[in-house]
Amino acid sequence: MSKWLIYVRNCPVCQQGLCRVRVCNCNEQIDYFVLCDECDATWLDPKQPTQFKQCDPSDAKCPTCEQSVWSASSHWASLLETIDAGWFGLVYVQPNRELVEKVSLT
Amino acid sequence: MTSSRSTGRSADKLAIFRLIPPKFAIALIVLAIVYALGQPFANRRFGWQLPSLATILELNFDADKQPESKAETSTKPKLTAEKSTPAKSVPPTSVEKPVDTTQSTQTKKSVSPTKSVSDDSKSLRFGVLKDLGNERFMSPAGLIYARGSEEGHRLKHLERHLSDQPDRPGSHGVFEGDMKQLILAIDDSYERASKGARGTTKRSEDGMTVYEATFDKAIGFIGGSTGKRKNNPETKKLRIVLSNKNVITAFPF
Repeated sequence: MSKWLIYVRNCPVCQQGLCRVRVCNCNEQIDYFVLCDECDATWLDPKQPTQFKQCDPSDAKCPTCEQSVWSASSHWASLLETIDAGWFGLVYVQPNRELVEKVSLT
Repeated sequence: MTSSRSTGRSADKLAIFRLIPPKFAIALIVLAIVYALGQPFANRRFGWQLPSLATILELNFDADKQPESKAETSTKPKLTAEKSTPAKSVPPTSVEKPVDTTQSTQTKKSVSPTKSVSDDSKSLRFGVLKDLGNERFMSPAGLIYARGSEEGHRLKHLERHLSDQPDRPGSHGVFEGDMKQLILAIDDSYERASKGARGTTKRSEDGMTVYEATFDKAIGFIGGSTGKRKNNPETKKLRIVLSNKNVITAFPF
């Protein structure tokens, strides 16, 4: 888990959640997408926030591999992963207070 | 009969005050006033769930009156907290509406669970949600709370909106009340917005439906970093995101 809270924007669907970069290890291939941490709406392209994919009410799924976004193979992107996805210029970054306290500059 | 009992009880309480030295009695009263004034502020500022003074006194009264309710509270600690709402926080008329529709002959004392609900309360989650099995729960208005979200369950996710996250970017709606009141407020909003009642909106977002409803009184406040910057303004509005009848999220905004 990243000690940074990385998000693209406020969710256009629920208007309060943060659209955050999520990483899924889809069949040994890394896939990036954007996921609202409030309403679970997902996007493949952060540049097109209106083209979101409806979430499964019981379990939001990765748009590519259809695995649960909350499965062990999925996690919030770190700074390096956001850079790797080529989305660093599109995101806002701020310290994730909860995690920073846990990591405590180790 | 009831009035003579309550008169006797208040006489007992007065007798206790006679036994306490005046200094201590005054100190107790001052402490009670400080608590009564500080409790809503502390709940709001720190996201605590301190019961109001009225609730504490009421709970003591209930304990005297109904010993059978003790078992209920001990098995479901949340139910005790259900009454612990700051007086200003939840609009009783709006939030309790759904319950009123199911039980018209409701006395003032039985706050929100109807008689039938209190009978079944052992099997009801938060006193209102019917267990459908497989971690699915149904509200009185027919909304479903199931597994999902980062927290693992939609109900767990909703709990996030009972306290502030002042460092979170943007807004974070905080509901001032407990889970039961939030669930009833969601039901009320859903029912009013479905009918297109005044002060409500409904929009569809590719499979998800977003309902918004305004209440008569403040139901919470705007938290998060945006709310903090604006000195946590109160809000009367609740937004619900549904997928069919499945609750995805709900929060004051």
